[in-house]
Amino acid sequence: MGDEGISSPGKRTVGTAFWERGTDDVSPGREVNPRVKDIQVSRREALLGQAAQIRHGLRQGSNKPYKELIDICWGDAHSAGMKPITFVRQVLAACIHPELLLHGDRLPADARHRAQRLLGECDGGSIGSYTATSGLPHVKRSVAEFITRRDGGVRSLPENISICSGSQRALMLVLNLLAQGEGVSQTGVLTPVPTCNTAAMALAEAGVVTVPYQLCEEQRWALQTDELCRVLRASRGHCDPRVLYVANPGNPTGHVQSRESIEEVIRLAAEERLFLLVNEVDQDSVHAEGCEFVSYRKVLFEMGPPFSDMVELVSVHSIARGFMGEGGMRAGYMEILNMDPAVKSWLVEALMCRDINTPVLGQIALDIMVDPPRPGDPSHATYTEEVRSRRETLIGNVGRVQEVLDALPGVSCQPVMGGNYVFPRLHLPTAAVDQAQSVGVEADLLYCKLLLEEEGLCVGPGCEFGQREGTHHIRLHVMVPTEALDDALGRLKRFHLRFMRTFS
Amino acid sequence: MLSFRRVLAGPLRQDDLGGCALISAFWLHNSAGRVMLNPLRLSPLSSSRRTVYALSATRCGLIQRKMTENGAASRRGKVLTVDTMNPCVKKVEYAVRGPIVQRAMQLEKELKEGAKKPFTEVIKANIGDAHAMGQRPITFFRQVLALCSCPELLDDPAFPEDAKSRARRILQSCGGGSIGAYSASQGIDCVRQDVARYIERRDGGIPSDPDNVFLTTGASDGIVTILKLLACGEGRTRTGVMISIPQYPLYSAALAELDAVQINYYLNEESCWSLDTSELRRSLAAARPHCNPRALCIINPGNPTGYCLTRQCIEDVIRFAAEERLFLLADEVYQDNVYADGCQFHSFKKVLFEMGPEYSNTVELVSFHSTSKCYMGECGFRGGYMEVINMDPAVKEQLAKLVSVRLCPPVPGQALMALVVNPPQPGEPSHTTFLKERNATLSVLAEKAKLTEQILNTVPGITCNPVQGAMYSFPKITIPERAVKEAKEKGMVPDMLYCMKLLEETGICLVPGSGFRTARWNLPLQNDHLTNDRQAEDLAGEATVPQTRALTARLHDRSRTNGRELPCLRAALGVHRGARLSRHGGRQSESARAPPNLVSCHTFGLHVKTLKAPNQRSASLTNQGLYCSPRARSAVLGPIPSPGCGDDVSPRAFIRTPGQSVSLQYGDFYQRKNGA
Repeated sequence: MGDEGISSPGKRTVGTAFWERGTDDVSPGREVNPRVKDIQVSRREALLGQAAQIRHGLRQGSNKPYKELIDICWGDAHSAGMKPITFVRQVLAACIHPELLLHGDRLPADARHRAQRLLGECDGGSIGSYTATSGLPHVKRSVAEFITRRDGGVRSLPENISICSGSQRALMLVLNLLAQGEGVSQTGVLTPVPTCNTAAMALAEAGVVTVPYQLCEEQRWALQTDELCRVLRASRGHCDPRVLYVANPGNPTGHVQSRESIEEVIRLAAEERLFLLVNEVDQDSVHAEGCEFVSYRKVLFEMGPPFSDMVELVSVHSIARGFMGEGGMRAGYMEILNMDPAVKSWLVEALMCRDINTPVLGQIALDIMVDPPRPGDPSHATYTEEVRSRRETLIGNVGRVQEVLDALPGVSCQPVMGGNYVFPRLHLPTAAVDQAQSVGVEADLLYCKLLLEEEGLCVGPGCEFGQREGTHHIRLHVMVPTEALDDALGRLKRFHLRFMRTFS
Repeated sequence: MLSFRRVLAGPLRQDDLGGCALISAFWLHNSAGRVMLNPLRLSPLSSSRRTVYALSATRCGLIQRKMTENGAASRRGKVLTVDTMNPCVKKVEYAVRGPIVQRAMQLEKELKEGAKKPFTEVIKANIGDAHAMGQRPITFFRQVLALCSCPELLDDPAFPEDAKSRARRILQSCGGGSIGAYSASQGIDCVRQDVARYIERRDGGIPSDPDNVFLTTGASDGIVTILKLLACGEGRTRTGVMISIPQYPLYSAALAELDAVQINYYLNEESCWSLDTSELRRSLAAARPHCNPRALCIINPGNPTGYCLTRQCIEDVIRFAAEERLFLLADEVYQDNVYADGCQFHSFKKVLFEMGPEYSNTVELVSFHSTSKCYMGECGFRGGYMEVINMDPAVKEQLAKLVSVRLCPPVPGQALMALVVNPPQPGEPSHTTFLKERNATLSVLAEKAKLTEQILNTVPGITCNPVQGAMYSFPKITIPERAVKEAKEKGMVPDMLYCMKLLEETGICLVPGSGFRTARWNLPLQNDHLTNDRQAEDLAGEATVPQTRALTARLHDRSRTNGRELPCLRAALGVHRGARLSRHGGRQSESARAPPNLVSCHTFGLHVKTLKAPNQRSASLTNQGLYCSPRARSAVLGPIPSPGCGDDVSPRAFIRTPGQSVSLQYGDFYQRKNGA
């Protein structure tokens, strides 16, 4: 959505790229959608390339001080070695290959029963058939019931649920719907800094203006409404800021909003006419003591009218996070509240149709996530134990990481309340910053590259998520097996001390 | 979007009138017909709306500040309204999942809640959904996927060794050995290698580079991604993409959303929906002054037409693309679905490379494939791939970035793709079963293709071309003037009315032919224009087949409407609607006995709805109020033996039997015919 006809400066404008000029023999496919060009390549790409090389080198027997590479850069629990939930996979296997249902002993009775039930919901009794665009009606009902339970009885309706291929896809769809206008009327989306870079890519892809607002690091990365008001004022006249994107719990910051904070945000959204787009994918991973997850919709409904029938809210959740970690299955849902019915029908009937439907296996995994084995079911004990042990691992890991980081010089880390990440700040020596500048990379990216090279540990550079000018961070994914984490922390510690020595 | 904004932002300029001019060009050419050109460009979103919006925005701002000052927050207006949402979305209409499908789902729900309808289940013939119609999955594929999902089963002796080794290989290439881990956004390396090797085998050794293979979320994801990459410019520089008419509506929907120009070229119904390069030239020439035509989409075998391109025709298309510097998109998802004698699938890539370096080094081509069609029919897994050839490296980088936004294609779908491109080999334990299952499915589809054509052509008012490939037939249906009039009164396209009535009365869900043409019906219906065949085509609707009681009655009524032949509808027939188990009836055993995917044609409006119990079938076959010509009847009953539940039972008797929950339809019918 570049404004090629208008020569305003800045990221929004994309002129003709170098490869499109200078020859008459331009091949037809060479000119590329300016919106695609706007998408920023993840800083991680550079790291991933380097990691691939190192892995290759290690296989070839190259001489490194470590035997294998540890990757805690990407928030992928299964890649990092967490095991899937047994019940989920049993049901999936039975749905894929219903012959497994014929022999009583191979799978527990509740898994078989669930598979049969879900297969009955699929056309032709096969997960190979298409489903409705917004998902299997049964799964939508399960999701609505789950939300109702979670929010202490605030009723959720299946017709407000749309199942889509992951929370990222949900964001892309809603942003696409909201994208319009040009110049001062181009849709602006208030986006937290730091934020997960996948959200930033979705914003660029949709062709909306990103209006960054800073989370306050000093106050545990709190979202401050003053800051929202400030950026709103500042952005009017440059674009039409009408969407507020919030991640709660935050990624990568790990902050969790209190009920009061959410109320303030909703009030602001009502006053300033903002569409609320809330990413709640880490809702299962709130782990700080005295801290609990409160959903936006719950607060919205409890605030009552006029807010509850006025503020437009889309909340997304996914099977990729928490104890499930099934990112590869690509499924999630969005709950759409107070959206103009006409717009909603466009969203489902026009935009989502393009995806045809969410992969059915993902929908099934989603059904299990929102409706797990119940007390008395044969799989209940195993399931509860697996979830408990994952939670324990997470809490233990967060504590361990904070302990190690607190002891390191030049590192400060806000207490983490939720999510699967820790996002410490690095107070890097000037020499390091200068050197990074001289080679043209951000200082934390340099740090990450050296860490990867020297210790075989891959972490996420803060520059990928956005950060206040002059500050540097790294992101560590902590939903990993404890042994792997201990190994990683050992490497980080060794490297950090060496790094600080070298540059001071 | 750019030019759209331009249209919105100010008075229309000459540049912006491209769409209108182009449409008139089509009108001239076709004397009334086919219109197609992105009708949206004509939509009355004039500058006034923008002005109004701009004004109201300003006003809102004022009010807002005031209200904030007052601490009031009671404004009811929505932030997001139809007027303030992405204008391109408004132009999207996806016929395969349009209002008819919405209604079908509603009917399903009502049935489930116990509502009385003249049918017991809804048959969704709107989309090529093989498993929904009773086609069985390939056992080997499902075994491997079950093992991948639940690796504990690797110890289970019931699974064959080759399935286990395949599962181990896939799991090893997944992060953490789990198909729940994200993959690289281009797809798992080893799957891409398998795909490349498959393409090499298929194309007789022409090399394929795994780096050129991108795994996708079904073919549709790949198609939309490539179109997105290509869409740019505004006014006369807006990207134009040539698509066939009739087309698969995904293309028009995606182009509308991307604000690219849809350039229509027409397939020739008279010669089996073939593709003629002179038509390509005509359409391109007409579009050139108004946009920047950059890409040409070909669906081979055709959807919904079922036409298979000849090798010669593909060469001509490639030559045309080379001359006109067009980027080629070859949608080849039906590559295994070729039925007609003498027809063969030729991949664009193979032909391109056989044409020599002059072409094979220059013509940009993307070819799409999917796990959803062919003999697998695994739509729900959303697996697919695309191979990009001769793409500029800088553009390929952009493509890689674009696909990374959606993180990765579903990993189980990738695993399935790996199996489709690398099925059991001779000597492996599962090889025999695999071949048997695969061939059975394909031969049944072939037979149904034939049957469909044959049966449809026995029905007066319906003509149908041979179904050479793919999974659909796309017949032309003549509907009476009165129906056209009624449709007009209701503001519907006649074929939409036809399909809607069909759905309401028989529970069969089809896609109107108009859905395969343009995003919107914008041609005023003039009854007396009927002489022109092309126009007839434009008026067409896809209807798959069975006609409703009302409609058939109406067809019968022709004498009362002056006996005039009226606007035609195309009917598309879901070829592989199988003997379908009623989910709610739970008669598992019967469906289990039926060979996969047996039935296809819930053809003609010959349902007998009056049956009370199976044993009363023959007695009550009195075609009450239903239309059935003697010719149709003998044609149907002649070659195909009666299914054995009555002497004088025509196939329609199988279609709907409200007295019982399982309708056996053609499955049973076929089985007997074949002596199965």
